[in-house]
Amino acid sequence: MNRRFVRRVLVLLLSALVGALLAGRSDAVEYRWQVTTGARDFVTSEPTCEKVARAAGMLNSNREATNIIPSFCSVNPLPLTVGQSFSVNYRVVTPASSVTGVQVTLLAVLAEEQGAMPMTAVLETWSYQRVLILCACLLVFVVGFNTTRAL
Amino acid sequence: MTVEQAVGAILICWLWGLGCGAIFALFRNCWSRWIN
Repeated sequence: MNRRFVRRVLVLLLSALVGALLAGRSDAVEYRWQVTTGARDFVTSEPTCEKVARAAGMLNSNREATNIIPSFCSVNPLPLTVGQSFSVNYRVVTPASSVTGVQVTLLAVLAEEQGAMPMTAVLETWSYQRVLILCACLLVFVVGFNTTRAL
Repeated sequence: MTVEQAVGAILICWLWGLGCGAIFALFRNCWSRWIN
């Protein structure tokens, strides 16, 4: 196996890896939850129901509350699809044996059409911008192709 | 389309080009006999 062959295989693997990562990132959905408990109100963007529940103070480690999080999350399964939202009141027995009403409200699902991610100045959907992006895509494709072809 | 999506599309196209170029380079010897 010569070095040129190894170099080409490495570039192929690396580009496949980064491409897969980018593809995974493009599907990412971000949630923003308003959590209201008896003790405090806060906003969190945890990605799973279990994490939202823990952030709301629902502990799953003590004997009395073993099934709190699973039951909460069976009522409120995540991930939701884009545009869905719900608000629920759920009563929780905390380790300090006080009863607290916890309200978890999904404020927003931040995804592609919502335009609320950190980088998100929304491009206006004018056709020339799309053509421009398409041209840029073709250009970078050719650049990438020639880069590795010559290796 | 957001800026993030546009940048993602361009990056994916670049990586696609890299991958295709690598495949082309890897198999050039295989099909050169058919072309020539």
